[in-house]
Amino acid sequence: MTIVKLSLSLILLCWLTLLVQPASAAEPTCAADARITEVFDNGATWDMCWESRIRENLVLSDVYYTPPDGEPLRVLSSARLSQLHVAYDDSDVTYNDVTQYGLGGGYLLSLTPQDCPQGTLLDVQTRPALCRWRTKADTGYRTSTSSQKTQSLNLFSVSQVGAYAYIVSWTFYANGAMEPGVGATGALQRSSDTTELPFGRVLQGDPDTLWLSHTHNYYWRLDFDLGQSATDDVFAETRYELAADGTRSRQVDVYKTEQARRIDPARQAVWEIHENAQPDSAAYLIEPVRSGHRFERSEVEPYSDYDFFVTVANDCERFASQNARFNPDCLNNVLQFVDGQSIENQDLVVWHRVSFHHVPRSEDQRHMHTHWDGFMMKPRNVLAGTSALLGQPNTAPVIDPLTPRTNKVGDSVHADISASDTDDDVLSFTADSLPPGLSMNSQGHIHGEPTATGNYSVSVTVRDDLDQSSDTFSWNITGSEPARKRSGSMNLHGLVTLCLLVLLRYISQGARIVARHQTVANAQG
Amino acid sequence: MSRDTDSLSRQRAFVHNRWPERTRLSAVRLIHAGFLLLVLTGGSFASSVFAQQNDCTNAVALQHSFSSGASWSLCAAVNNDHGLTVSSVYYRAPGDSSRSVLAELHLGQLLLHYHDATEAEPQIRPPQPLRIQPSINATRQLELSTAQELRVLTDDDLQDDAQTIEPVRFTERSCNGERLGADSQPDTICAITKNNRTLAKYAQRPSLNSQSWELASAFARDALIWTSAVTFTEDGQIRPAVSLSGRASRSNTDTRYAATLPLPIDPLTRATVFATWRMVFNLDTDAADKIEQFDFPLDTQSGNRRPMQVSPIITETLRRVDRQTFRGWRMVDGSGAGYYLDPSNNGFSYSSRSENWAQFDMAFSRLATCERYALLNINDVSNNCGTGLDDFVNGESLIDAVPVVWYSQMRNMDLTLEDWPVISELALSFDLLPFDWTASSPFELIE
Repeated sequence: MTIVKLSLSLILLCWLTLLVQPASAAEPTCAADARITEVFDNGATWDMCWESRIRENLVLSDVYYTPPDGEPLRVLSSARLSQLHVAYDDSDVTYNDVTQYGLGGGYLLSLTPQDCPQGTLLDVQTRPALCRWRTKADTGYRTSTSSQKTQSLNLFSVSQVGAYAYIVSWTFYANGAMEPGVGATGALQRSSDTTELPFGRVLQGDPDTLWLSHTHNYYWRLDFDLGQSATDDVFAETRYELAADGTRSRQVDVYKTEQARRIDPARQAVWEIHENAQPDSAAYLIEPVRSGHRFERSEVEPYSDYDFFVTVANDCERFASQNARFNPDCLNNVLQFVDGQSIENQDLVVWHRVSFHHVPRSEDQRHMHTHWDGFMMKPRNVLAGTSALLGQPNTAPVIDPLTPRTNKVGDSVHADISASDTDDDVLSFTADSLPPGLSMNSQGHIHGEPTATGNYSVSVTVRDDLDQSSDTFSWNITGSEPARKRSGSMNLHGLVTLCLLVLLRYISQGARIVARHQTVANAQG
Repeated sequence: MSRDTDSLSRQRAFVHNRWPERTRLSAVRLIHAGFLLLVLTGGSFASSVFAQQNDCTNAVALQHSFSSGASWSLCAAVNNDHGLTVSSVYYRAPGDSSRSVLAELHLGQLLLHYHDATEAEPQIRPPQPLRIQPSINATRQLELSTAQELRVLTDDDLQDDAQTIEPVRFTERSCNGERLGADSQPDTICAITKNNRTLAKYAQRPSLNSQSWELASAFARDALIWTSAVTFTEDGQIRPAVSLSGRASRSNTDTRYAATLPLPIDPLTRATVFATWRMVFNLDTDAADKIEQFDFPLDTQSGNRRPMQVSPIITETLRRVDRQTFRGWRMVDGSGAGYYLDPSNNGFSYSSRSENWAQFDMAFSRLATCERYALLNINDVSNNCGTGLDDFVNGESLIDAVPVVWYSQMRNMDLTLEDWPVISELALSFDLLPFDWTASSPFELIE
């Protein structure tokens, strides 16, 4: 009986513990050897778990980003390459490498320090097969006096599938961006002895062989869990269309059901996953920049008609194609996963395809130089600004003393506002409430002709790369020549009034004289 | 339109003779063992200012050598109109001779279209004594000779236009590399050597690793900072790139055109960047370079095959990227050595209500030294030059002529907190890939 009570108490305790546990802890939950934490110089941090699977190889999970001076943000529940589809131009052979062969297990190459020259090798089971290194992005921030390239964490492994060696890569940037990628190297796979076929090229030094052109289609599966809840993410497509008047306006469609989308270069469509329905909530932007090639073979593979999919998370929907081979109770490809389910208050999974068409060149002999493909996911409204990323001290510029000014309507005005900056930054000026007719350029030069009288309180702002200063001065615009004419007419008016007053006085005086004469006459009468 | 002839032949005189095929392969075999060891150690040699065979008038002569034996040599200058210009560019693959690749490469125009405006603002504005009124006619090039009104710029026009750009002078804070420049423009070029990701890997053979060499210049336009850069990789690739950073200063309260940020930040006006590069190839031997267009259209009638179609481009023309046919272009010398421009990074199509050329991604024109800018080209009527690509591309023959390649890309700038107060760099880049430049990878032993 005591044992039963104890057991019940333990169960109750466990239940209560689970009850008070937050929906998602603010850090990954995995063993120490499966966890990767990278803290950058500016304090930004990426934190995640990793594992290597037989099929997909590298699978990342519980991915968190902490901005400089910010709080950890849960970004992804899991991320992986979900298919590597290769179609040859002669259409004789198509490979689905992830499901036909796999990128892990025996296909995963052991790495040496030579393969990971600036990094650290991590073991997959008992052999080194994952390279972890810190690098710098090609981009960052540039001001007139400084430049900062964004630091990044790169993880990669290499899988040998047939003649190809695929470098599966994930890069996490200090500014919160993420970049999955695949580098294709190794050697050309397929050739033909019929050199006159139009499906490839004969390369130098080997006149009897036609090396076949082919397309690599990379599909990534990204289970977004932005923020506290896994089930409130929102999917939106944004377009920037040119209007008839030449302006370009932003149009946003928020989708309520599962979607299969195509790139739309003319309308410049991009995709966003938001933390919740608030438009200014944290989000990740996916721009299909690397879409200069687009594979399509809808007769045999209808899913190839689309580039971007959003589905409700389902553990048995693992592979973009040939899914049923390993999940017989589930549908077979990603287009079939898109079956009209509501995505409101659901856990969302994003699938993105990038294509690369490979035309053999002589330099591909005997071993190919790596050609890289991938895409960038950029944070939006995740950081509190870029200052912390720049990591540099800055002194705000100071506006030179301003004095009140007076001009007349119609004057030709040329005036300069100046400022100093101890950092010698390039400065730009703006002004508010200038008298009508005047404008100021970014160098602080004011010019134009005032068009209306008044006393204006002009606000001037000067900005350097990071800070700004403001000051005000009064600008009195008085009347010009027409106003002076009006002043003359006032004098004339006064003169007339004076004359009238004098006339009235004379009339009044005359009346009094007449009255006096009448009084005298009456008295004499 | 008649044009001045260019003196490319003068530059060609300095090109080393290409080695005969067999000799080159033998040389490759002999020296591979030596430089392969160097490749494996991952070392590199610093770039240096040197006296090269080319005439680098008003430019600095540069050479960068890698540990593999690969090297680049070129002239570099920062132009007050358009930033970095590289010219007389030569590449030496490991075991090969130094061979000419480019006569000249620079930005040909940068359009910045604020979304609340009806017209894009050219960021490259060379001085112009005369200006043609902006046209809204998309077929302007057809009418140029008949009806164009000219007007003289006023003082205010000149003042507001800020005719030339002021190159950024790099400091330790802004250049994490070597600061270079011509005597008249010191510290206007930043040279950086970078470690690339894996160059090649096969099975359990050790990875080949490589480096690249980047030259960059920057200029300010209003509060914006534009960086134009060209990266030269150890294996012969060229990657031109332009990026936008600096400070966003344009605002609009209309949310159709501006991004709303938390107060007190004013709503920031969105913009589209359209960057056009001008490339004059000068490939390998004295033979005239040719342009080929590659397409791989899907043939559903024959089992979804994709036959390769190679079309020579023999007259001046404007072309679009065709994503479905995997379109690309090869510039090729008479020797067969070439470079391939693969528009992989071209995900968006620019559209313009006023400029016909800006409806396209690619243009090919016949070389004329006065045709330098896709828009606002110096309108020197006496030289019979046009005002931009819509004038340059008028059907002239490219046969036995030096072709000029104009390639454009675009991206949108939709600002968020991550862009305040400094814009997170918005970059546009593409690759020029050696294509049958060498008979095989010059980085590996031929077995």
